[in-house]
Amino acid sequence: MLYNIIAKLDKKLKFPVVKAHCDIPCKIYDPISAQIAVLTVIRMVDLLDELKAKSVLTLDEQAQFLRLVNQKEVHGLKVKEEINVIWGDYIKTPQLTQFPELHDLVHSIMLTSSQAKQNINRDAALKLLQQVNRFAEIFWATKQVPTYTAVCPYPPAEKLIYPKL
Amino acid sequence: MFGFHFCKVSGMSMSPRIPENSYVFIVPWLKVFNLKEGSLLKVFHPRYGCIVKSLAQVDRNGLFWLKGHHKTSVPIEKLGPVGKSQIQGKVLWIFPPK
Repeated sequence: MLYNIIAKLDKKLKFPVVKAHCDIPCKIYDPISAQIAVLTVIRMVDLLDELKAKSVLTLDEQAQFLRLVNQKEVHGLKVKEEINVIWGDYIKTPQLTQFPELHDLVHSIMLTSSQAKQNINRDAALKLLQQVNRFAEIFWATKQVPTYTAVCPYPPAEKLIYPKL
Repeated sequence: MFGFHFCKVSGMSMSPRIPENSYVFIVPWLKVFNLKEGSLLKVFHPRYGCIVKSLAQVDRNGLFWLKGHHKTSVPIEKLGPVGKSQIQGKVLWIFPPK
């Protein structure tokens, strides 16, 4: 009865609304962002290696060096963020039961990503790609989506796991 | 104006304690008293706007950490702490829909 009275008052007076927010799962998850971020890290390493070959850098090249290092850092961090979101929000008990390696794999991705950020090391970046590709493979397997491996059609032209939709 | 007001609750992060579409009776000046864990507060959150949440903890810096009651609620660490000035009142009564 009280509720009805207040509801009638609300219609007349328009009470303010307070939100009881939910973290509603949007269900839009895709490891491709992480995969592209790793490719960017590899590409930055390649471009940095080109600069490394020069004995003296011009001012422009020094500016480019800074940009490349910065982008490598940003995308290394992006890999971590993208994987963390899928791991934290999407991966739950059924997926963990199906793929018990997931926790270790995600932890390895975090470590390798740090390694790729810390050094200009193509091997570390490639190792990261391998791990992220494995993560993508597992992700699509949990959704019963088959995958295939293909070389990405742009530099650094490395192998990527794609969903066969 | 009267030292209290009603608000309508949208969302279900506080259910079952505050079911969606409930009305809550808010008393702004009650926030000057010691707020205890579990107190229901109306808060202006910089990201989420006006929200109603439960007080989880007051940290040693005097900041207020809030939480929802439902499993889908925005987690406490995502909400982050708020200052006392952001608290707009304490929920005194809840009028759930039938």
